[in-house]
Order: sequence, then C-alpha cells, then structure tokens
Amino acid sequence: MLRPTTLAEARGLAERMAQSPADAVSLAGMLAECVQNLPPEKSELLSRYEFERATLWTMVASFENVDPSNIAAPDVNVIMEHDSWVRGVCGVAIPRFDQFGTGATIADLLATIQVLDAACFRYGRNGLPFFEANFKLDDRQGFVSSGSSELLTPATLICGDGVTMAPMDWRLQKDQAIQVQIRNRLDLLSPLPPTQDQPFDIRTLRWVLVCFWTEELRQPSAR
Amino acid sequence: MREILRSLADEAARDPSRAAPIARYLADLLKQAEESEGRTTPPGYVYAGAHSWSALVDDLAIEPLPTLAAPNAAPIFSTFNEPTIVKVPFDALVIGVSSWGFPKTPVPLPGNEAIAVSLLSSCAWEGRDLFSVDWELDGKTAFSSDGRRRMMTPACVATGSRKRPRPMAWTLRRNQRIGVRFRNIMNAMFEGVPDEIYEPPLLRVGLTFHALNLDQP
Repeated sequence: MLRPTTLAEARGLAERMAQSPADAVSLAGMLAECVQNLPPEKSELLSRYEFERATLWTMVASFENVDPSNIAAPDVNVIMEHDSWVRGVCGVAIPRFDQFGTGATIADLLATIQVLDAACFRYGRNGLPFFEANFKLDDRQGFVSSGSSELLTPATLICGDGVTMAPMDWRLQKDQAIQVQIRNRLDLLSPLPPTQDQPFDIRTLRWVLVCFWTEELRQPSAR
Repeated sequence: MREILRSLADEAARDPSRAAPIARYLADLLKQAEESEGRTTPPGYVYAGAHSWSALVDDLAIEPLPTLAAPNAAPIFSTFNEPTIVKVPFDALVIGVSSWGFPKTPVPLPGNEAIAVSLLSSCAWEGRDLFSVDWELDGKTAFSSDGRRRMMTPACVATGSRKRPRPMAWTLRRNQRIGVRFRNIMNAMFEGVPDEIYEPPLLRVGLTFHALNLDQP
C-alpha cells in the first residue's frame, strides 16, 4: 500500500501529468492511488479523542463541622459507582464565623472577613489553605507521603480549585473506595483562644469537600 | 473536497484519454486545498464550543440548614429548590461547564459594610463557592455523588470559570432536558452570626454549558 501522501506530492504528480499528456496516461493510476491516500481534512479530525478523556462525574468526600484539632477528622469513603477513571481532584473549604465577644457589630465582622479574604487571595483559593488532606485506595496505599510515610499535606498543594484540577490517573473498578482524610488548619489564622475583644472568629470548617473528577469507563449510564 | 478529488482521480484512471485535462484541473484543486488548509480554520473548529446554554436564577434565597429545632431542613448537600430547565436545541456535544455567582445588595440596605462583607464572602474565583449545584438529565440522572447518594457540591468544585470551563464529554440529543439545581449556601459561612448583624443576601447565579453542534452547520 502506498504511504499516505501529502497535498504537495499529489499536486506535483498532477502538474507533471498536465504538462505531459504522454505521462498522463501511465501516471493516472498512480495519481488515483495518491489521492486515495491523502490525509483527512483537519475538519474531519475534530479532536474527539481529547473530549473523550474529559470528565463528567463528580465523586465527593464531604465533611461537615470539622473542629480545630491536632488529629484528623474520621476518614470518609468515596465509593465508585462504576468502573471509573479518576482524572483529577479539587477541594473547597467553607469556614464558619462564630460570635464570641459581646457588642459585636458589622464592622467587626468586616474586619474578620478581610483577614480571610486576604489569606485566600494570596495563599490559595477555595479555602484550600485551611485544611490538610490525604487520599488512600482500599485502605492500603497512601498516595500522599513524605516518601517514607503517609502525610497530611496542605490542600493547596494536592487539590485543584475547580478552574484547574490537580491531575490524577487512577483506573478504579466499581465498588472500590477512596479514603479521604482531612485536618482543620484554621489555627494558622486564629492561634489563640477567642476573647471578648475579638467578637468574631473563624475556627470551624462548616463544609469541606474533596471532589474527584471521574470519567465512566463505559457508556455513561442513568441511575 | 476529498471526495471530489477522489472521484476526479478515479475518472482519470478509468479514461486515460481524459487524464491530462483532468490532471490539470486536479492540480488547481490540490493547490487550493493546500492554501486553505494552512489559512482557514477548519469548519469543525469554527463551531466547536460556539453554543452556550445557560441556566440563570436571579434571586436565589438561602435555605435554612438543619438544626436541633428544625431537623427536617434540607441537608447542606441537598435542596428543596426546583431545577432550572435547559432544553437541548439540537444534537450536541457538551464540552465544558462554567458558572458564576454574585451577591445582591443585602435588603434592607444596612450600609456599605454589609455590602463589603457580602462581596468578600467568596474565596473562589467568580463567586463559585457561594452556591452549590448539581444537574440531572431528563429528571433521572445525577452526576454528583459520594457513591451512596446524590450530592450537591459548591460550584467551585463542580464547574470551571468561563476562561477555563470544566472539560466534559457529554453527547446529548435534541429535546433532552438538563435540570440544574442551585442552592445559596452563604448561610453556611455565617451560621454563627446573628441575623441582626448580618443576614446573607440573595444571589444572582448562572451556569453555562458550552456545546458543539453535532448536526452539519
């Protein structure tokens, strides 16, 4: 079989035939074969392979009311509903404001939220600086480690913010589980106990989610 | 174009007496093809992602969170809000999803400080952590779950921004219906703040699917 030809090669052959009618008769078969082997037009390619790698499912590990503590919150399992290809992970933490002092005003609340905003603006979107995380598969293997032992790592380092995901490439079977562990690190912002001079404080993470963007390995199915 | 080239080349091979004039014509066509491949955007790419289908809600109010006094309120990962319907106008490949949320001015207007608190409440790009979302297809398929139950998630982990939508690959048929559910979750952050000091405002939210027309344009 003739190797795929280029447009320039086919044109060269056609021009040679046009200039020399004697050659045209003998080269007509070759030109036909040459044109048959032209690569498809770019518009026929439509990078579908790339789209097929894109994700549709969001598999969620959800934690509510995570208090400040030196120990991690209990693991949450994310169970695969299908044979899946985990393509990436994102996270978000929503802190909760609590009133501690008396005589609090909206100005006090504004002052506290400005601290939070500055931290997120400079050190990680989605509240990622405020928790640490670790993922395990089937309770056996940790994928977040120091190289020698498992480690809870700042979520900013291992989770995406939804605009971009932290890429992963796990092929999991139905009913396999990812264990997610997190720890509240709002103590970085509020290291001291609340006082009457500090009407509002943020100590508890009201809702933390670690979300895995996955692709179903077979045709997506309805539940 | 390729089909025309192939049929002409076959014609030249079948009838050698016409090979030379056909070859001249073919040479011209091949030259045009060469020039257009380098110069123009292929038709498929022109239409890729050109369509945007949006679900918009103008006044998305908070829903109470469950408490000991009101244990039957919707859990934070769910909602009683009805889905906003997006009807698929043609066979399409959905290639991305993005969203955006904006806090409206608190009512009654308590002054610039309350407005500033509202605007600073988001820690994600484009206010996507102020509300949660999920979507269903024809009322039966949900694509967000912990493996046991359907779960809404903050939009910042389920959708991207317009600049960088979350990539998807979702082939939909004409007249299918996507139901998008929204929930204002600003009260999660201010759960411990008395309403007299600050009450989370309504949100204007939107979610857009970016789609490619699978029919011939």
